[in-house]
Amino acid sequence: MAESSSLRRVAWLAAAGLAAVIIGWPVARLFGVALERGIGTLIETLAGPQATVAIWNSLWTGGSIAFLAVTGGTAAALLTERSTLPGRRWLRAGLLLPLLVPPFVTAFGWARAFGPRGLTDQLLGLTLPGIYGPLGIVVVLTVAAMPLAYLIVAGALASRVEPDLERAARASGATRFEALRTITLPLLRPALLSALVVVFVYAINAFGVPAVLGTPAGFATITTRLYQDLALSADPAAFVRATTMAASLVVVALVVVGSSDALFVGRGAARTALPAGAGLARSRGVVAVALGAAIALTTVLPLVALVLAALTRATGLQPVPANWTLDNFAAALDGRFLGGLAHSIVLALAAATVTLLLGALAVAAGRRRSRILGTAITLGFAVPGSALAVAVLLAYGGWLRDTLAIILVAYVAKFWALGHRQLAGSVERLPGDQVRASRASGAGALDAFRSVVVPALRPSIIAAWLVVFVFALHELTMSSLLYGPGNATLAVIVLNVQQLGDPTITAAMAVLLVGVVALAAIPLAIAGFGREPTTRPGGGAS
Amino acid sequence: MTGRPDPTVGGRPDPAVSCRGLTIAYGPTAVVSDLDLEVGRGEMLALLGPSGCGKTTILSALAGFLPVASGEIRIGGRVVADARRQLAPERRDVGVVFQGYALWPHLDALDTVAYPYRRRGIGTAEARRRAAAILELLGIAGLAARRPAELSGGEQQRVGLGRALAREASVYLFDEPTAHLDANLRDRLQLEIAEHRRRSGAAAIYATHDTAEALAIADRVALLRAGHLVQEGTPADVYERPVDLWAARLTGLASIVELTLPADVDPGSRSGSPGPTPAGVAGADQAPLLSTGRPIAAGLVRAIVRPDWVRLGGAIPGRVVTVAFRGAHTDYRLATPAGTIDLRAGGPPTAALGEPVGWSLDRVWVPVEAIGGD
Amino acid sequence: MSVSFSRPVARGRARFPRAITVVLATIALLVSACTASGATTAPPTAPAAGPSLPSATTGPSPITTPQPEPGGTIRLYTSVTQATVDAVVAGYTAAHPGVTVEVFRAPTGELAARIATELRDGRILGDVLWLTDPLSIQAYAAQDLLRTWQPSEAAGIDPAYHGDTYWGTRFLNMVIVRGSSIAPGPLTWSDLADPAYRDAVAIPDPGFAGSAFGALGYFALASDAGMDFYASLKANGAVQVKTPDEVTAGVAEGRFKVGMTLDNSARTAVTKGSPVALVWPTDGAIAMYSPIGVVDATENATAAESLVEFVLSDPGQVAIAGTGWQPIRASAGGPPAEGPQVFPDWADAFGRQDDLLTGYRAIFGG
Repeated sequence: MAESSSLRRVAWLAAAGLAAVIIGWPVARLFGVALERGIGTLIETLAGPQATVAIWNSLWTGGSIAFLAVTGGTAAALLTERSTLPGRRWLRAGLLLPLLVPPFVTAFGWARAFGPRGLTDQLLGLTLPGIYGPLGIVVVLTVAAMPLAYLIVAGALASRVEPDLERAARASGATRFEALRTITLPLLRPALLSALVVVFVYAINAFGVPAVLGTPAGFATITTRLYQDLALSADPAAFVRATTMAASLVVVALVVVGSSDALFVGRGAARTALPAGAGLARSRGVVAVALGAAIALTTVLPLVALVLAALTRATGLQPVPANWTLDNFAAALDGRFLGGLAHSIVLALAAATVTLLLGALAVAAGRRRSRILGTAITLGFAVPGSALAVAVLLAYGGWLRDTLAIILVAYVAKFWALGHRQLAGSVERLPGDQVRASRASGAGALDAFRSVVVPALRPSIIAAWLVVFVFALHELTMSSLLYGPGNATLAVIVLNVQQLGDPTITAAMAVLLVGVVALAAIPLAIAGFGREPTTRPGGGAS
Repeated sequence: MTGRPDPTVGGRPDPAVSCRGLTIAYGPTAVVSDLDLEVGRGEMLALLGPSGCGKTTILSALAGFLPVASGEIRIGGRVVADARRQLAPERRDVGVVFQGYALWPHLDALDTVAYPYRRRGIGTAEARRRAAAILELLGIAGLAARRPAELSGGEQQRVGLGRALAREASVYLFDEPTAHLDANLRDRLQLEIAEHRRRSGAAAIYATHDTAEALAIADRVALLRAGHLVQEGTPADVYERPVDLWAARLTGLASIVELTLPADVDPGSRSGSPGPTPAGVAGADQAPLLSTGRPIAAGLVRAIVRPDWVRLGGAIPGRVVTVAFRGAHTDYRLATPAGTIDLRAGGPPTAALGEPVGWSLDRVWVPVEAIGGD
Repeated sequence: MSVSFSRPVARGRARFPRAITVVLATIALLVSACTASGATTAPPTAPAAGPSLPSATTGPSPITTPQPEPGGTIRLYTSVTQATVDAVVAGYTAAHPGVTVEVFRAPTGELAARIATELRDGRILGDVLWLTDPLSIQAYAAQDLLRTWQPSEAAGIDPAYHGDTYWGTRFLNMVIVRGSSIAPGPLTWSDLADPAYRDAVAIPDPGFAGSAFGALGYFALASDAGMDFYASLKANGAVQVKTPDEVTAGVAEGRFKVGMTLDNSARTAVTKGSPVALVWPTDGAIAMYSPIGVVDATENATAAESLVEFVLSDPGQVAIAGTGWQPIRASAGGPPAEGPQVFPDWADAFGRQDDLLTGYRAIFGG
C-alpha cells in the first residue's frame, strides 16, 4: 500500500474527480431534467398508472427473486461447503454455469425449452404455464441470479477458517439441523443480507428477461417501461416519464445502498473440506444426483433447446435431424454480427481495463477519506442500468451521442464498484508487515507497491478483470438505450433480431453469443475449478 | 445407542474410553493406524506428541467429527464408532474444549454455557440458571453478558470450559486448550482445568505438545508419533523410563552418556559395584544407579541421563558451555570426556561460562530401544 | 548501501513509462472509437463539377440539372427489412463508390423514438428516411422536416403513392396467414373474429411496426368496420405481438392458428418449409406503400438525393423485387398481387395518427 500521504491525496483527488464526471454529473443532470417541470409534475407522473404498475411489478418480482435465489443459493452453498457430497467440484462448476449465459438468452432458451410448442411440449406435451409473464420472469431470473447468491454465501462459509464453531455446537448436543438453525445461519446473516441486496439490485436491473418474457404478456417492469418510453416512443410525455422514473430509481438505489452498508462480503481464498460430522451418509449420492439434475434442467436443457432451434430449417418444423441445417448460422454471421462482435470486444476490453485502473485508484485513495467516494462508486452499481443510461445520455448525449464512448462511460460507471470492491477486499487482507519490510529494505513507496502489493494481488486483479470483461460482453440494459447507427454491440443485435420475431435466426445468434461469452469466461472457469481444499483433517496440524 | 452408559455392566467397570485397532484415514493415507488406547473412569490421559502426530485427529474421531476407517471406539463400554457406523457427535457422552475456543460470536457467555442445556430440552430460564452456576464456579460470573469479542483469551477458554462442563458428560476431550495463551496464564489455567475435571469425576483425554503440561496434570501419559502409540504410562514412567531416545527427548532434556559395563545386566535397577563407569573416564568411585529396560551385555553401552540425575561438584572433569539462570534453578551444559551433559542445579549459578568444573553421575537409564551406535 | 537505494529508484523510473503507455493506449482506444463511429456527418465533398452525369437508369427520365458526382457520408434511417436494405445499399454503393452509407435499421417505433430524441436535441442526424408506411413519414412532412424536391426517377409514379417530399418505393400487402393444418381457414378479415379461432389469432403492434400502423389506418377509417374490427378481435381473444414476422412464426409453431402479417413474411416462411399458408383476403389485402424522403437538415443533399434516385430507378427497384417485395415500378418484376388490394385513404388518415393509436390502445392496451 503506498503509504506516502501525498500520493494518497493525489489518488483521492483523481478518483473523486473521475467519480464526479462519470457518476456524479449524470445523476445531477438527471435530477435536473426530472425536476424541470416541478415536483408536482414529478409526483403526478410517478403516480400515473403506467409508472406505478411498472414500479410495483419490478419491486415485487425483484423481492421474490431475491428471496428465492438466496434460499436456493444458501442451500446449495451449505451442501457443497459443509457436507461430504460426492463430485463437489463438478457441482460447484455446474452451479456457476448460468453466469456464462446472458440472462436474456436464458429467457429465450427457457421459452424454447418449456414454452408453448417448445421442447418439452413436443416431447412430453408439458409446458410451464405462465412462462410468458411474471412467473417466467421470476423463475428465469432466479436461475440466473442464484450463482451470485451462491458465490457470496459459499464464500462466507469457506472463508471462515473455523469450522469448529459448528463442531462445538454438535459437541454441545445439537443435531445437524439444530446446529444449522442456531449457529450457522445466524452467523451467516451478514452474508445473507448482502446476497439479498445484491440479487435484488441485479433483478431490478434486469432488462433482457422482462423484455423477452414480460412484454409479450403485457407485463411491464421499470426497465422495459423505460426502454419503451425512451427507445420506442416518440411521445414527449413518454420521455418525461422516462426521466422521472429514472430519477426515482436513483433514490431507491441510494436508500437500499445506504441502509445495507456491506454490499459485498469479502471472499476468502482459503477453503476447508472439513465436514461438520458424519450423517447424511446414505442419502449423499441421491442429493448430489438431485442437485445435478436440477442444474441440468434449469441451465443445460434451455441451451439444448436453443441449439436445436438454431439448427431447424424453418419455424414450426420439428427439430429432428431431417430438418437440420447450418443456414441459420451462416445467415447469422453476417457483417452486422461481426461488426457487433468487434464493438462488444473493444468495449469489454476497454471497460475491464479502465474499471480496474479506476478501482486501483480508488483503493490507493485510502480508506479513511473515501466514505463518500465509496458510496458514489457503489451507487453506480446499485442504480439500475436503465436509469444510469438515461442519466449518462442526458449528461453527455450532446457530445458523445451515438459513439462507443458513451456506452463505455455507462459501463465504467456501472462496473467501477466491481473492480473497487474486489481490490479493496484483497488489499485489506494483505499483511501490512510485508510492505513495511520492503520499505525497510530500501524500496520507495511506488516501488514497494509494485514489487510487493501487486504480485500478491495479481490473482485478484486478474479475476476482477475477467469478471468485468464477461459482464461487459453480454451487457444489454444500457447498451440497448445508448447505441447508435453502426455502433450496436453484439447483445443489442441479438435482441433486435429477437424482437423482429424469427426464432430460428435469433436462436442461431443467441448460440453464437453464448459461445463468445463462454470463450471469454473459460479462464475464469478454470481458475474457479482448480481451487481445492488443502488442509488436513483435524482442523490444523496436530 | 444413547451413549449414556451403565458402567457396571458385567461386574467390572468399563473403561471410560477404549479404542481398539483404531485407524483413521484422510483419503488414501492413514493418519492414525491400529491404535489401542484406554482411559479408566475418572482418569486423565494426556496425549503428548509433536505437531502432526495425530492427537487432534484422535480427539476428532472420539468426538464424532471424523469417521473411523477400521477398529472401534467405545465410550463407557458402548460402541460409538466402527467401520460401519458412527454415532453422531451430539449423541455421544463427550464434552469438548477446543484449541481456538470456538465460541459463537453471536452469543454471550451465559447463553454459550446454557447452550448444551437448551439442546437437552431444558427451558431458557432454567438453562440460564444452571449456566450462571457454572460461571460462578469458574469465577467468571461477571462476564455473563459479554460476547467473545469482549473477552480475553483466558476468559474465552474458561467460557469454553464452562460450555463443556454444562454437557455433564462422562468423558471430556481437551484439544490443546492452553496453546494460544500466555505462559503465565497457561500454568494457571492448566491447574484450573485439572481441578474442575477432577471435581466432576469425569474421565478426560488431554491433547498437548507441551511436556510440562502433560506431566503436571495427567494421571497417565501416552506418547504419540506419526499416528502410532510409542509409550504409555504414568508421568513418572515416561520421564524416568522412556522407551527410546525419541521418547526421552520428547519428555524432557536427555543427555547421552557412554558407559563401560563390567558385567551383563538384566532389566531392572542395580546399584553398587561393580557398576558402570563413564567411558574414557578414570576413577572407580563413580557407581551411578543403573536402570535398564532391556538385557545388556558387558562392554560399552549408551544410556540416557536426565539433568536432575547429574550433580555439580564431583570427580569427573568437564567445562561449562552454557549457563541459564531460571530463577528457581540453573541449567548448565557441560562439555565432558563422556559427551555433552545437560545439568540442572538448584539456586543461582555457581560456575561461569568456560569454567572447568567437576561433576558426578547419580543415575542412568538404558532404554528399551538401543540408542544408535550401540 | 547507496547501491541498494539507487537501484529501486531506477527500476521505478523504467516501469513508470510502461504504466503511462497503458493509460495512453486506453485513451487512444477511446478516441479512435469516438471518431470511427462518426459522431458527425462529414461535410459534403464535391469534386469540380464536370459534364453533367445522367441518372444511371433507362426509361423516360428527363435530365433536369447537372448533378455533381456524390461523395462523402450519408446516414440512412430505415425500418425496411434488413435484406432489402442491404441489397439496395450494395447496389447503390457499387454505382457510387465515393459515398459511404451508414445504415440505422430499426422497427418503426424505435426509429420514431430516435428521431424524436434527435429533434429534442436539435436536429435529425439522418439524411434519408425510408419507412414502411405513409402515416409515419407524413407526420414528419407535416413538421416541415423533409426536403421538397423532384427526383427525376419519380416521373412515372402514380400520384397516389407520393407527396412533395416522399415517394413510394414498394408495396406492402397485409394478408392473412394460417397454419397449414387449419383448413379451410379464414377467407376475409372479418373471419378472424370467428369463434373457431378463439384465443388463437395474432396481430402485430401498430406502435411498433409501421405496416400494422398502416393497417390500423385502413380499418379505422376506410372500412365500415372502424375500431369495431379491433374490438371484435379483442373480444375473440386475439393476441398482440410485436411484428408481422412474429405473427408468422407464432402461426408456424402452432401457438396461433391464424394471424395478420405481411405477404413477404408469409411467402418466405412457406419457401423455407414452415407449415403455414398465405391467405389473400377476398375482401382485399391492405396495400400500403413504403415511402422514402430526404431530411431537410441534411448536410449532404447531393448524396442523399442520389440515394433516393437510385432506389426509385430500375436497378434499385430490381434489387427490391429480388428480395421478395412488390416494387413500385411494375416493370421491375417481383411478386404480383395475388388478389384484390384495398388502399386506405391516406389523406383522410393524415393528421389523425395520434387519435388512431389512442383508440387502438384503448382496446389492446400497451
